[in-house]
Amino acid sequence: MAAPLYKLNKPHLLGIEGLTALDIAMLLDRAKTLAAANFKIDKKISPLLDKTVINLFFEPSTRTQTSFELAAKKLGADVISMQVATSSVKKGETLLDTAMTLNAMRPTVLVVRHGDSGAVQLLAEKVNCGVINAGDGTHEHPTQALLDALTIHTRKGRLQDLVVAICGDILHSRVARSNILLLSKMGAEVRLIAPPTLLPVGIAGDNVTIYTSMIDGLREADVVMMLRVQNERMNGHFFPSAREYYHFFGLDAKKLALAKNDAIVMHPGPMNRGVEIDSAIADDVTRSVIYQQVEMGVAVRMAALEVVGEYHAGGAK
Amino acid sequence: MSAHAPMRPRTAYMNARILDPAAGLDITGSLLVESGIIQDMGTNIFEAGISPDIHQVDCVGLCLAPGILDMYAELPGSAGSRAEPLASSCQAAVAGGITTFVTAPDGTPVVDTPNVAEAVQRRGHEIGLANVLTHGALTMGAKGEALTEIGLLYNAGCVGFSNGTQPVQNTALLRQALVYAQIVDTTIISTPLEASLIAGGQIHESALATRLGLRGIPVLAETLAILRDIALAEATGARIHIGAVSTAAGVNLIRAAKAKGIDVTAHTAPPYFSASVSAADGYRTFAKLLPPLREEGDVTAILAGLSDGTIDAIASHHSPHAEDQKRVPFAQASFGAAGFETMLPLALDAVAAGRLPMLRALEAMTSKPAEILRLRVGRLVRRQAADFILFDPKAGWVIDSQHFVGACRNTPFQGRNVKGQLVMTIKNGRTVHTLNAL
Repeated sequence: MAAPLYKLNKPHLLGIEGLTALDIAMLLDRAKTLAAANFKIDKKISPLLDKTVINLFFEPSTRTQTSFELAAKKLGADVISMQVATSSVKKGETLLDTAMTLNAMRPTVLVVRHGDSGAVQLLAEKVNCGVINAGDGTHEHPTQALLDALTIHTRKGRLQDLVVAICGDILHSRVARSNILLLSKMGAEVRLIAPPTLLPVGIAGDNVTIYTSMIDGLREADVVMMLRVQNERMNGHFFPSAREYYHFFGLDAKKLALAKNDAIVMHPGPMNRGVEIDSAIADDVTRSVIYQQVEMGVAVRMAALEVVGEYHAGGAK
Repeated sequence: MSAHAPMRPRTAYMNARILDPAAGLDITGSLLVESGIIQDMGTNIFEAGISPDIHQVDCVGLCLAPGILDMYAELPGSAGSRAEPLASSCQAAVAGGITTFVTAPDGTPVVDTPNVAEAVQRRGHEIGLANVLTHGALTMGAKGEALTEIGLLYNAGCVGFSNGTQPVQNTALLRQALVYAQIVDTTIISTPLEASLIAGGQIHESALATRLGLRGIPVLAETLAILRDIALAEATGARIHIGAVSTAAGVNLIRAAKAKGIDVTAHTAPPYFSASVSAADGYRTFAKLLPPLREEGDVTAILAGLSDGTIDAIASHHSPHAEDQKRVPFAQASFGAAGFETMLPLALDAVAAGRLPMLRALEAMTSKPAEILRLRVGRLVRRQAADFILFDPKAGWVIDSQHFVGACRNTPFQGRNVKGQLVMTIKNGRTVHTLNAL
């Protein structure tokens, strides 16, 4: 199928911050079309046919990397995935040196994940191929926000005026930051629910309200998005214990009952069952869309690779 | 020159606006230098005519002020740095009108023994451009665990004592240091940062920090440290100097302490009255400073504090870094900016903008820090060393690090339009820097 590509008119996809509502809508639309076509496209019109896509992951990742790999392959690209051990990349020189080395191999798109906020942007300034941010520090994870939005849109038919509750470790979450930017841009009402120690300064905004209680924040929510609590945060510095966290901020049936009857439950994975989410809810196919999120991830990454690839490959052939 | 020319060359700087903040002097007149010493100065010193053997420098439209005393520069230490060797730092200093600077004690090696203190000064003397002085470390290795030989370091020339950018966290030890240091006439300099609140921090805690995904450094890190320092000064009667102050809340605390009669002084650095946290947007590592750049309201409060004397002094906090220490992900980048060559222009720019009185600005960079550190520099005095600067307070220009004399170019003020330009630096009567355009 030969759906016309819309032009992103940006060399890279570094964050939701740089995207307009129209950019987001077009990307989601394209991804939806791809998903509906079972991820099949006519490779002859793919801007990435026989082009090189390099996945450069400075942080370990299974699902995101696999998702990008699959997406690039479906677009007919040659894909190389590199897991760069973080220990050898303590120095920034190595980041740029690695980037320049890969750049010399003339990839069309570099997909980069890095543990430091801004590292992907820094790298993008130095290379002359397209760069897609697959997560940088606690800054952004744009394709995750796009796949979340696509999942919501698929289930709810819209984003506008939906009440989306994002619960958990907002402070350390790039997923939360990208989602907040995307959902508020698209006219959803965003509620952030977290213990005050896990809320960053100045995060509230026009469509973004803060709650420190699940009971208040979940009322009449259309979407409940749970965030992973990293093990290293459970050392008693941000909250006292996993047990107490689960009691106040873990999603169980009782708390979920406060949301709308048809509210969906999301999680970017990997889940800590019994810490931020009750196992029964995670597995409840009527509410949980966690595996649908994974599926939408491939579609969104195909769309992202297409538009960035299009910019650099100089048009579909 | 005739055979009868005097052995000692004389130079007259004619028709300058002579500014000496220590004396409250602001006159139009001339200044005569002989053998590196200020022979005379005043409105009418050549009323009876000027001897033809005196070399004359026409200074119409220029200000003449004491050479700048920079009381705190974060140099890499006497072991030098691949980024900026001391000779290069000295050139940068005089290109910024600085005729005397004091280095922080926490370079490599740490200034915790008399040998190191002497080596720094000796190296500066060999270079012979600016007076190079040093602070001593308050604790061995600046580790905050055991006191250094404060008395012996003082005798070896250390002009103040500090623990550098890692302030002493052990309050009991700091109290001992303050009490003990009274055996000599010295000042303890405390960096107002509470370690547990700056750990991992990258920029001012703000909506911008959240947006960039960078850990914030709260205002509380500064105010808590200042509160402790003030309480210690009050309890021990010791002289404590706080710097660099970056927040409005910090200025208010110091103002209140001074009103109570507590013996506390303070300094800030030009970035804190010239830029806000937004300079770091886009992950600009050149604007990564410690303390961090704060909000516009803090900039205004720092200028107000400088104007009313709450903030006594301005120090450069010159911190040279090689390009590759800054061309890295933000969290990996070093803190600090090159500051020698932008200190005077940024202060003069605040003067030109009407946000800081001229004499106060100069006092904060000359006689006031000299008074705090008990140094005999920073004033225009007959029979004393001819260390002074000439500058054009009205000249507008653009800061361009490509034209920096020093080796390091890590300035957050690249491309900034400023008003007020250094024209000449004279050290011991010798011209050590001249603006190229002249």
